[in-house]
Amino acid sequence: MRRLAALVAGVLVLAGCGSTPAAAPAPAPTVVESNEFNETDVMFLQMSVPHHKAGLEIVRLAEDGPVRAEVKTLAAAIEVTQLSEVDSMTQWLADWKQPETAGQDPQLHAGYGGDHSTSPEAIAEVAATGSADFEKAFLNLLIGHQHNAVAMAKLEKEGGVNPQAKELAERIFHSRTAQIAQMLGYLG
Amino acid sequence: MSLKRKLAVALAAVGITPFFVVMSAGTASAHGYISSPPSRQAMCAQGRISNCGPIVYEPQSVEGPKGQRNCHAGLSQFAQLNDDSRPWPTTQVGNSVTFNWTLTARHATSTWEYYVGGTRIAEFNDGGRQPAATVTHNVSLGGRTGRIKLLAIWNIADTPMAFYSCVDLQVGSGGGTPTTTTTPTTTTRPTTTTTQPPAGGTWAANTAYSVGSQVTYGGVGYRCIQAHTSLVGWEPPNTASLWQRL
Repeated sequence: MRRLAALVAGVLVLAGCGSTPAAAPAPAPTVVESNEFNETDVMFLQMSVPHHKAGLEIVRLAEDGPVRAEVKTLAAAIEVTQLSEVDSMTQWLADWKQPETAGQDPQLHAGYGGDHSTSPEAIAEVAATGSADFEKAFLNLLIGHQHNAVAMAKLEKEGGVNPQAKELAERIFHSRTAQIAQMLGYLG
Repeated sequence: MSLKRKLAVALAAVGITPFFVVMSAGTASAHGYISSPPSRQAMCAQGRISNCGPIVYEPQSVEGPKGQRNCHAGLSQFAQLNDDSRPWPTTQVGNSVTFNWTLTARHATSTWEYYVGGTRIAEFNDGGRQPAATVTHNVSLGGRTGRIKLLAIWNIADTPMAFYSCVDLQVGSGGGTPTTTTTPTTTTRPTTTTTQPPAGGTWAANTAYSVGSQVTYGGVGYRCIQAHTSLVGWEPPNTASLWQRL
């Protein structure tokens, strides 16, 4: 019950937009893997898999889109790293005998607008943006998307117990924050 | 869908009643800030000003009750944003400025307001609609010149909350040359310095690596297999999709 309380407390902090100062240590390159996990670990992975996949759809817009070379390079690097992360996360969920997404029952999603923080409609809207404004729209959509990744990673960092999931969350937290800094620089 | 709602779904899936949804009803789940010209929180998130505190990880969270006229929504943890004595970098602009918002949730919106001093210089009324995927406003600064602090407020339609962004501008004296929607070329922005890697050196963040670049990390050699600018969190041992171990 204490674990549940801690979990919910973490959720409340996140939901209430509260924050605590976070140190920024260099992520440990190796962890001792374990199959111990709690609800937060499962929730983090089940939310991150579809969130990553939506992110892949976003970054692929830059492949043939009218963006500068450095933006294209960043998008391509995000694509390969997130593909690799999805592989890890789906493998862990399989190892733990947990479903890949949070609930197969459509009722779970009823009234919640689906399971993606960035809707397919928003992605389509940016895809249809004219070339003069495309890069700006693309960057703002991707920055917003990665902000949500940072928020989810923060929840796992604070409430998860599985070492490899927490280590991934640490890397997501820092790499997305750094990606956002890069992209804000491209926006000027 | 908001993170909060996703959490509710996820918690329900693992058998936990998402009672916090009920508890927090009435608070905004939307988040957003002005990304360009960079607001104070965007300057913090970019690292163009230091010692910003936790805002660097969540520049979208400057949320507070409507009707305030400050840069930090009255939140003590973000008080640095409201400190005018800090050396906030400015962005050079003309009299007409295009403000771009980054949104992490597209909540029903009543209005977007822009203030300079105590004067509201622009208002965009969305009439309770959900904003587009990206939001852009063209605002005339009304002939003001010199350094100004602009306050932008995103008023959420169905909650008492709003989001606050302050933008520090240096308004050119040219006048009569409104900027277009393209990126201003006169901006004097010291972007994060990207360095070229020394051949065979130690891996470092914020470095442009091309395919074939070789580095060492923790005493182990790696070859770059995907061009990228390196980041904390993208260290070679963790990113087999970017680096091949030699």
